[in-house]
Amino acid sequence: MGRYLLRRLLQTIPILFGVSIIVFVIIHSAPGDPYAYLFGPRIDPTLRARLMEEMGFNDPIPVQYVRWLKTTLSGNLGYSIRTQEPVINMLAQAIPRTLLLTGSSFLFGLAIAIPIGVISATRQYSLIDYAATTFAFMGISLPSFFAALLAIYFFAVKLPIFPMNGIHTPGGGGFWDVLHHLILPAVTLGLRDMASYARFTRSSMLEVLRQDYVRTARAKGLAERLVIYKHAFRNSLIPVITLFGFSLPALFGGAVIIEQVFTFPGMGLLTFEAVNNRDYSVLMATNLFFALLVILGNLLADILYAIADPRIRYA
Amino acid sequence: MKRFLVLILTTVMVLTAAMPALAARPEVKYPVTFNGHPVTFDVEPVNVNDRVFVPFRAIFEKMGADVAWDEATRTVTATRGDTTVQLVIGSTTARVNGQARTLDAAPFIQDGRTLVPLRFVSEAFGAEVEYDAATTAISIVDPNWPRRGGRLNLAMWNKPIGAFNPIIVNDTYGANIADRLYEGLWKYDERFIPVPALAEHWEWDDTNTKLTFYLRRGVTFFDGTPVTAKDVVFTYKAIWHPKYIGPRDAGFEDVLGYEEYANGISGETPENFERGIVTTGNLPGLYAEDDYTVVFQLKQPNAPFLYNLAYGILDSSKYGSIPVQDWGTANDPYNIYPNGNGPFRMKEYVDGQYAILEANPNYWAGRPYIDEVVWRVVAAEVAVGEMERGTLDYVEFSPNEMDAYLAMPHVKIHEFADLVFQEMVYNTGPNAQGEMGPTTDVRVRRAINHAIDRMAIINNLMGGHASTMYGPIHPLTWAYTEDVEQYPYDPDKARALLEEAGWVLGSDGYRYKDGKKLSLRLLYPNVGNPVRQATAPVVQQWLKEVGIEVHLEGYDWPTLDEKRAARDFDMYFIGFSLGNSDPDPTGLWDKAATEPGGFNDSQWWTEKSEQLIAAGKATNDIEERIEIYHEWARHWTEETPAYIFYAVNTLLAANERLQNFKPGPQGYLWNIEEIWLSE
Repeated sequence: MGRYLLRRLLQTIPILFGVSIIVFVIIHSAPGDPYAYLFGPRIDPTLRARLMEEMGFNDPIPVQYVRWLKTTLSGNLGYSIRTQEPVINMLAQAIPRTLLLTGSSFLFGLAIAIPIGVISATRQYSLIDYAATTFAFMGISLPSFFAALLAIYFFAVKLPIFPMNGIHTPGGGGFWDVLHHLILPAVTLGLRDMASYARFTRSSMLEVLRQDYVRTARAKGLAERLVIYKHAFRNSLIPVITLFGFSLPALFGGAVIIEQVFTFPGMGLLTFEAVNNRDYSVLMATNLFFALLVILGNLLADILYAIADPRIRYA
Repeated sequence: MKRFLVLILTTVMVLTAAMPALAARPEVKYPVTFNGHPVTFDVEPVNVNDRVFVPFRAIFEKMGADVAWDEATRTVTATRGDTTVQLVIGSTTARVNGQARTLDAAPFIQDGRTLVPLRFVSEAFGAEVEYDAATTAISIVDPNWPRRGGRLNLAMWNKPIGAFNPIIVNDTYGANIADRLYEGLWKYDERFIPVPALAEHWEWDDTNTKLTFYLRRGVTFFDGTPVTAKDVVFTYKAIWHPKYIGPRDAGFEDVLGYEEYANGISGETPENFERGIVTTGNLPGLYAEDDYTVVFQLKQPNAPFLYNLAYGILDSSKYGSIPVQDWGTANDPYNIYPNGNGPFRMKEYVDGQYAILEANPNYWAGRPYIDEVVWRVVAAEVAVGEMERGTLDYVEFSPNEMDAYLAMPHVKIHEFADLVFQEMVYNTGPNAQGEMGPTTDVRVRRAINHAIDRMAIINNLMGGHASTMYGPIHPLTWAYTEDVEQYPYDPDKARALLEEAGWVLGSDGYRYKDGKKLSLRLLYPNVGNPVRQATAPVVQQWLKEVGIEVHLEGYDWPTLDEKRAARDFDMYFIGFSLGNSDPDPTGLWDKAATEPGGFNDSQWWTEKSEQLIAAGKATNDIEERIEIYHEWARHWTEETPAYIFYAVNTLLAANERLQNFKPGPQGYLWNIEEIWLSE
C-alpha cells in the first residue's frame, strides 16, 4: 500500500507539469490582455508599449512559461495582475468560503439522498420509489440558476424568513448569522447533487439486496429491518463513499452560478472573474489547484475504496 | 463624476472629454447653513433693520414645510406637522398657529421673490438660529427636521476592482465609493453646473490661460490634517508623474511644464522620478501661491480645462512616501481605508461582499443626515426581489423590468436623460489587413444610415426610454443641434446611394462591384446590454433589404476591444458616456485619437474638423462656441464616421423612504449629505 501510494503521488508530478503547459498556452492564446483596464484608455501608446515590454507581455509564450514555472516552483504563486494582491491570499480567502458552502450542501445532500435511495431500493417499483425517482430527475433537470431564483422568490421575498444573499449581515456576523445566510444557497446547491446521490444509493442498494449473503441473512430468519440496515446498507455504502473522493474537486471548485446569485464569492467566482479579466496569474493558480484536486480526489477514492472493501488490495 | 471605464458591467465607454469655464460665484454676504449644510438662494439674503431676510420658498422647503401663497391676501402660509406660520407682505403682524406675533420688519418682495425674516420663521418651527457677527455667517439648526440616521442600502452587480484612490479607480462601483470618500475642487449641482467644493471659488485671468482656485479654509482630512494648496499640487502632479499608469492623465497637455514633468525631465529629482515619488514642489504651470491659493497656468486658452480638475484631493502627508505606481494596489496602506475628505469614510470593506461607509462628522458641507451607506454585491437577477422586500433603496433597471417596479407600491420610478449614447462606428480607413473596405466610401455609410430605422429601435427595443440624438453632440449639452443631416429611414434612398457608389444588385439580392460582393462585418459586444445585442440582427435584416450582406460577430469585451483597436472591423457597436456636459469632442473625434490606443477607431478626421475642434477650445465665449460646434456637427454628420442610434434614458427604481433623492446625469448621490430616510 505504501509503495502504491508513493507511486501514485509521484505520478502527479508529470501530470501537473503537462496540465500547467496546456493551461498556460490556452489562456495566453485567448484574445485580449489583462492590462487594458490597468492602464486606462488614453495612456500614451509608447508608454503602454514600454510597460508591456517591462512586464514581459511581449516575450514568446515559452519564455513566459519558464518564468512562471521558476517563480511558482520557488513557492510564489505570484500577484493578481488586476489588484496586485498575492494570489495565495486570494485563494486563502476563497477556499474556506467555498468549503463552507459546498461542504454543507454535500452533507445536506447526503443526509436526504441516502434515506431516499435506501427506501426506494427496498420498495422497488412502489409508489414511493416512483415518487423518489421523479423527484430525483426533477432535481437533476432543474437548472441551479432557476432553482436558486425560485428559492429566493419564495423564501426571501414572498416569505422573508431568509436573507437574500451574502455570507453574513454587513457589519454583523457570528455563527447563527452565517448559518442563517448559508441555508438557502446550501440547500439549492445540495438539491442538485442530492438527486444523483439518491440514484446512486438506490442502484447500489439494489445490487447488494440481490447478493447471496442477504438471501442467507433472510434465510436465517433475521428481521427485515436488520437485514437491510445491518447487512445490506453498510455494504451498499461502499460505492457511495467513493463518491466523496470524486466530489472533492467540485467541493473546492465551488459553483459559479450559486456563488453569484447568492453573493457567496468562493473559488467559482474567483476563477470566473479571472477569466473575464484575463488575470493570468490567478487563472494559473486556480487551474493548477483544480488539477491537483482531481488527481488527489481520484487517489482518495481509491484509498477509501480499499478501506471500505477489505477484498481490494493495492500493490 | 463618471470619468471611468465601466466596461465590465454596462460595457459603455467613458470619454474623459472636457468643458467651458464658468465664472466664479459672486461673494455671498450672508452665508446660511441649515443643519450645517450650505443653503443657496436664487435671491441673496438682505439685511433690513439688522434683520436678515431670505426668499421664503427656499427656506421653508429646506425646513420641510408645505408652502401656500394666497395672492388675494398676499399671505404666505407654511405648515409642518401641527405648526402653521402665516406672514403677510408689508405687515409686521405674523401668526403662529393663529396667535399674532409682531415682527421688527415686514416681509417684502424683491426681484420677484418674497423675502421673510429668517430668524422669526426658523424659530417658529423650533429651530435655533445663530449669527456670527465676525463672519456674518448664519447657522440654523433644526433638531426636529429632517430625520437623522439610518442606513442607505445599495447594490453593486459585481465586486469593485478594489482600488479606491480617486486618481486610480477605473470601475463604476469603485468610483461610486471613491467619490464619497474624497472631495474635488468643484462638484456638480442640481443644474449639472460646476459649483465650489474644496475650492470656495475660482477665476480665469484676462488671457484665459491662468486659472486660480481659492480653497475653502478649515477643511480637513479625516484625521484632522488641513486640506491645503500643497495637496492640490501634489494630487495633479501625481497624475502627471511618469510612473503613474492610471486613466486620468488626459487633457493636461496645455499646462506649462506638463511635458517636462510627464517625461521625467524636471519637477522632481531624478531619483524621485525613478522611484515614483511625488512631492508638493511647485511646477511652472501648477503652483501654490499660498496655503489656500493654487494656480494652473496654461500655454494657450483651453475652455474645457476646468473639467479635468474634479478629481478627489489626496493627503500629500500620507501619500508623499508611497511610490505612485503602488497607489490603489495591495501595497497602498491608504487605499481601502483612506484619509480622505469626502462626506463619508470607509468603515468596513469585505472583498466580494460589501462596503460600509459611515458619515464624516467634519464634512465641510455639513454632516450627512444618514449614518451609513452600504454597498452590497448583489446578483442583478435578484434586484427586483430585493427592491420588493425593501432591502435595497434604489437600483438601475432596464425598460423590460418596468412592470415589476410599477407594481410595487413603495417604489418610485425616476427617469432622466443620461450622457450615455449608443452608436455604430464605421471603419473609414485601412482595416487590419491594410485594405480600404466598402465603408471608407462616404456614400456607402450614408446608404447604411438611411437603411436603419432608428425610431423602430427606440420605440420597440428601448420601449420609448431613449431619445433621438442626431449628430455627435449629446442633447444634454448646450451645443446640441438638430439642424444637421438626420438620415431618416429611407431604404429607396439607401439603394440609390449604393447604385451611385457602383454597387449593383446581383441575382441573389446582394450587391456587387467588380465581381466583389458587398459584404460587411459587424462586431458587437455579446455581453452586458441585451438591447444592443438585439439590435445587431435587426440591423443585419435592414441592410439585407437594400442588398448589403452583414456578418454578425459577437464578442466578449477583451476580444472586441482588441479587434476594434486593431481596426479589424467594418462596423461595430459601442456605448459611450461623456464625462461631462461640454461638447468638445477631443479624444473621440480628433486626429490624435486615431493613434493606436485612442478612441477614434473610425480613423476619421479632416482638416476642417481639426480646425473647428481647436477653435472651440480656444474661446470661453459660450455663444461663439455654440456656433463652432453646430458647424462641426453638420460637418461630422455629412461625413458620418458613425451612426448614432439613440441617447439613453436612465431608469431608476427607488424606495419611497428616500427623501431629497435627486438622481441625474451628475450622479445619483451628488447631494448625499442632503439625502435622508423617512421612517
